[in-house]
Amino acid sequence: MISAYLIHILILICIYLILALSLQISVGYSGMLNLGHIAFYGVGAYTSTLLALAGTPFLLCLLAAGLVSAVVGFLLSLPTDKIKGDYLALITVGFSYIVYSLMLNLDGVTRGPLGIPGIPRPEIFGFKFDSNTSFLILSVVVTTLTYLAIKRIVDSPFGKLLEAVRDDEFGAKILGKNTFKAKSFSLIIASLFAGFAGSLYAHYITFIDPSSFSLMQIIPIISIVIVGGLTSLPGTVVATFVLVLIPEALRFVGLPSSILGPMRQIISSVILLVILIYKPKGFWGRVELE
Amino acid sequence: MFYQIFVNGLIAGAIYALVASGFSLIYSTCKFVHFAHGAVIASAAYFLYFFFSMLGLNFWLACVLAVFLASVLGYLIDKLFYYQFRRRRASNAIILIASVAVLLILESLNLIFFGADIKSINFIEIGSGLKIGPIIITSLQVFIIVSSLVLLCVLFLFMKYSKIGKAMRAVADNKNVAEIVGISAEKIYSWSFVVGSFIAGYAAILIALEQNIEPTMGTGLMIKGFTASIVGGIESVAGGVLGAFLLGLVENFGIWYLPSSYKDAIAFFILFVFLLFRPEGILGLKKSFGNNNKSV
Amino acid sequence: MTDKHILKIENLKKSFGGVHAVDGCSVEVPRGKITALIGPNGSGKTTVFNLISGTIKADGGKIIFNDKKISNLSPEVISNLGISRVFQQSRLFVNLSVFDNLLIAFDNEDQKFWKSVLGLNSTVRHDKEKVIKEMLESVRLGHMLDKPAKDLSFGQKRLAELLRAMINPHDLLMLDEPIAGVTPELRDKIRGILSGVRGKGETVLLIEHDMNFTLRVADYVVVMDAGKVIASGSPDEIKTNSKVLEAYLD
Repeated sequence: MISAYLIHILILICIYLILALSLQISVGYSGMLNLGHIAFYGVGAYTSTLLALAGTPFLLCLLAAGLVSAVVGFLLSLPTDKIKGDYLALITVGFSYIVYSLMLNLDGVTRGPLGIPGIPRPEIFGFKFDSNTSFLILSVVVTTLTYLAIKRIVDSPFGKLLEAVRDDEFGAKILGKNTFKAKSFSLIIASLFAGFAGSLYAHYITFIDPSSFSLMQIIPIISIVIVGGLTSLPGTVVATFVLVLIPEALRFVGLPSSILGPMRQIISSVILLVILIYKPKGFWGRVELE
Repeated sequence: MFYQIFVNGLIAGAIYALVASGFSLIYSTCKFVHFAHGAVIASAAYFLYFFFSMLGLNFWLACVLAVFLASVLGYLIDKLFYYQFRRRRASNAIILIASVAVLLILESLNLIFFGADIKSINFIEIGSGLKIGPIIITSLQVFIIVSSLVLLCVLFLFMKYSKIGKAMRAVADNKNVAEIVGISAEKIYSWSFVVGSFIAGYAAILIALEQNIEPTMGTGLMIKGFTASIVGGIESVAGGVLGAFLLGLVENFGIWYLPSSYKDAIAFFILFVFLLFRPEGILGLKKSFGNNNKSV
Repeated sequence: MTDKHILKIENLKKSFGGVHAVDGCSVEVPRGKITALIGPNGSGKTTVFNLISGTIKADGGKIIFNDKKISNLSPEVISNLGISRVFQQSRLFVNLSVFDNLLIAFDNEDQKFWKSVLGLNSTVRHDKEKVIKEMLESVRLGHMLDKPAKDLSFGQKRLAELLRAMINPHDLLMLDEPIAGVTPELRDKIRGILSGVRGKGETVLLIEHDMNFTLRVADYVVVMDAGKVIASGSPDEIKTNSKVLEAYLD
């Protein structure tokens, strides 16, 4: 019983970790406070779902989820040339809300608040990931590949370019760098991986609805990035474990379910506030949030 | 048909204007995004519900209490949270994230105390609308438009002629100079929260009467509010009001042509396109936004 | 077919509000020499610099660099055309190491996404590393190679930025008050670096307030006052020019 629960939590940790690592690229390395990251997650989930229900093999669904999200990420990058800082953060918030609103209202496509049930578990080359254990293995593989890919990107000269743009965008322009292109690529990569996370989520829970992708879902993710510390990939891993497990502990306190949900939100938010006030650089961060 | 849509746009615009003006007031004075403003509105609506529908108090008394508590709530949020960030010279980005966290806490508290189901305020009977020429409008809607305009006028006069209003504009314009002249910036920040949240409370009552109350209403209102502020020019209250009416009109004309499920998306799309070409908003002055913008 | 003058400014104009910061300024900067742009505070020198490097847009007039009109192009385009600039305030990337700050200046090729990720530039990088290490050693900053730029002292930052600007491919090096606020020792070091640069036939345009330094280092001096050029010539000519003395005493 408990080990089944543990497997479930670990799968969720994997999904959150992919989301947090990809958000690190935007926030930690590029200095863009993208609070609309969840929109990419949701677009990936719905893309994968609709393709899967039309009979597309899982790996293609996963890939498509990433690519469609990447296109959305590109769209969001368009205003970043002229808009920065907290102003940009506001725009990303609005963006997230609109994507959520479209999920809720385009019920011809998304079935609106009813959501889409019956999403098949992944099947790769004939092997079906029916059991949660096998899905966990799949998740760990995807997550590990994500970590390695992102690490490669941020340690590379391109990653240094992103950091330069974050530290002094104008200074980068004066050295002849195309800063808009850098920021655009950054958002495209971040949204690509968030899209993969969405696909994983959809094929695990086998049911999706807009409520998983509302604006407020960004709070746990941005908390992980900040608590772990900006630009610290290992910090992000640790923070994901900690910040997923702490609210989960509430389950065992015996609160009625109507209170459990909001209580967990409150705990997550309070943790975030405390860190923002007392340790805004997080535990392993190299960089301040500017 | 045109006139009906126009009037619908005005009604929506009036509500957005109340939301946006409070938000803009706080932003222009304190120079950071108080995203939790939406939750102050939602909480005020719940206060009204609590006093009127649950405790059975007189409606007008309940209104006064709700608005008063909204102002107190706004003041407390600033003193308990934002002040901590100002003291530590935190960047605007940090304060913005914090304000989203505060919004979530308030929404969750509302959820816990009042439940997730939709509440309504049964003060005005759902009568048929008045027919004025080609348009149909309810007396409540007329009241919304008129009383919003009245409140905005009062706000305008307050900002222009009262001591505190002038001090707020001074701090908004240049905090350091204002302090040299003897204005206490901290006091003015508190005042901006009190006044802004008062307007929020007022808006909450009208919204609660015209629509319904549900725990996540704050988020949606806030999105509309800051969209309006950005379109009109976020550095001024007048910008917020202008943007709000434009937003209301655009939304309603938009769904004349497009399916109503696109309503929210239309407004945001306009915002998005707008920002690509004129990020400072219609009334705006500055060209580069968010850069090195410290609240202190 | 290179013109004797690397940079030509014709009747440049820029106003802020009602203030004519640059009011019909014309300058010809000779190739292969060190030119100093001097003048009392508020004469428009930094504005001219900002107009050249594309930081701000001109209200009128032309700027021609290497026979190409660059007025109102964007900063990154102008930089890639061959102008390297150091600002008065430090523009180092504070969270990157000194090494990374210098490495990124070499070119734009290496940071291309696919090249980076697929690791297609590792051999060339080795050569660049050597150059960077040598340059840092020559100014005794070798030990700061891997430290984040924010750990540098003021003087060390000035040096690092100068080196970075020199690494950035350029035909013209623009320096905005390179020795402001530095110790005499560092001042001499910088003068040495500039002489070395001139010795290689490069072109430098600098703004400076320190008259001694300027008149010792510069080959050609342009004097501005109230947004216009009032005199130009060799340092000796300028030293004795009455108009110049007047402008400074006013």
